[in-house]
Amino acid sequence: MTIFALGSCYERIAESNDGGALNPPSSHHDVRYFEHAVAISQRHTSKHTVEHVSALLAQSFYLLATCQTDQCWITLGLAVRIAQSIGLHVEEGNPSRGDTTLSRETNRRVWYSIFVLDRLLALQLGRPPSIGDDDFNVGLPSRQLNVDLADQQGCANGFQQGWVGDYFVAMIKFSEVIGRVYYNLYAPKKPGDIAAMLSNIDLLDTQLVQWRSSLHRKLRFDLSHVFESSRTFQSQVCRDPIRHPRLCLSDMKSSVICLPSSSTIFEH
Amino acid sequence: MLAVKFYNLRALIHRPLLSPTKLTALSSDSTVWHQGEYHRISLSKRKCVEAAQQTAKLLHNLEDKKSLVYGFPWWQMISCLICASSILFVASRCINLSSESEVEVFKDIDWLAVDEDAEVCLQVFQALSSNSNAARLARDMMQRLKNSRTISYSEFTSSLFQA
Repeated sequence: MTIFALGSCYERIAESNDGGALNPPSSHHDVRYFEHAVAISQRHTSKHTVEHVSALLAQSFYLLATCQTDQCWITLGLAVRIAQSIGLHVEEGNPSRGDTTLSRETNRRVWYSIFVLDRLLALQLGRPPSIGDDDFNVGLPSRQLNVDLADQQGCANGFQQGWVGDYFVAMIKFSEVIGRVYYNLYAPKKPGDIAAMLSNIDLLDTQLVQWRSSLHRKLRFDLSHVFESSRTFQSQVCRDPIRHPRLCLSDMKSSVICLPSSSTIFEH
Repeated sequence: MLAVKFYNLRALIHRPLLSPTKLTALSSDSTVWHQGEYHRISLSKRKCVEAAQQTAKLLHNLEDKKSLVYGFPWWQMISCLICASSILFVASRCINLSSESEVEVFKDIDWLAVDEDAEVCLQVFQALSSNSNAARLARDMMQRLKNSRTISYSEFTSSLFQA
């Protein structure tokens, strides 16, 4: 339901007329979808599960997309607490069976989706992140797609496999830099003198540029070939209305919340 | 999408040194700034302005609102553009014209282009405002910031050339 709300929200914003009269929020499809999603989710508040965390994560994303940033902060905070209470922030031992591997991968994706969104919100609101760099010990998610993980034979789609997973890992690394920027420049305890401030700024700028240099070639936005292919890709998609909603959801999932493809999320 | 995030964060990294008030607060009586530090501050200011310009430039060739909503991280765009436009609107006021070093660092900045980039941000807020309260608030806030600038562009550039 939250995914439907997100798709509907995107369509409403993209399709609206510039000079049109504003409709009351209650008449929006996305608002009704979201209210339904929250109602369903609240029936499961006593069960602390990965699926419940995923539902809260999706709700946080909808709240962010609709600029209800403060409510997003609260909902994501709840997701962080529940995730920690069920141990998503730690992992031990090696998975031995295929289904355990898939389950572990799902947990990693949910945890790091929370981590990325937490840092993004901290940056937007100028508030401390809920998750410190040393507060968890979780391996990075796989660069493979869900379908590749489910299919252990590994019939991977070469193009998508190449960069969707890389995008998510890149966002995790970027979020680490966000945390350092907050703690070194914007936290309540700031550098006391100009020399310390300059030193922090130089170091953070270097780390940010290093992050860009480490990106997969297809993600390097500073290389001209990326913009050309991106623009071509976008114009192709814009001519294909059937693919539009799918791209929208795909972009959202790969950009901030790489949700697992479990059907339980859609039930929420 | 990564480009917007990168330039936004780079602008934020260098933004603390853009404000003269901030710099004053950081300089205690016992602190003696060296010439090298002045130069590093000027370079940091420039990087801040350039990152804000780069953010706005990503939006220069937008065909329509769909391109913005589907091609960019919409959930992050308003805060990124508030950051970029606020920097661009006040940048010219933050240059220390009594510092030869700073004037030298900024001598090839096209201030008309800086103003145009800020206007691009305003136009995006305007385009989104029909269905986004946040975009409306951002538009009004940045419009007020623009109107509050007391030094006109011509006054600024003439004093820049005199310095």
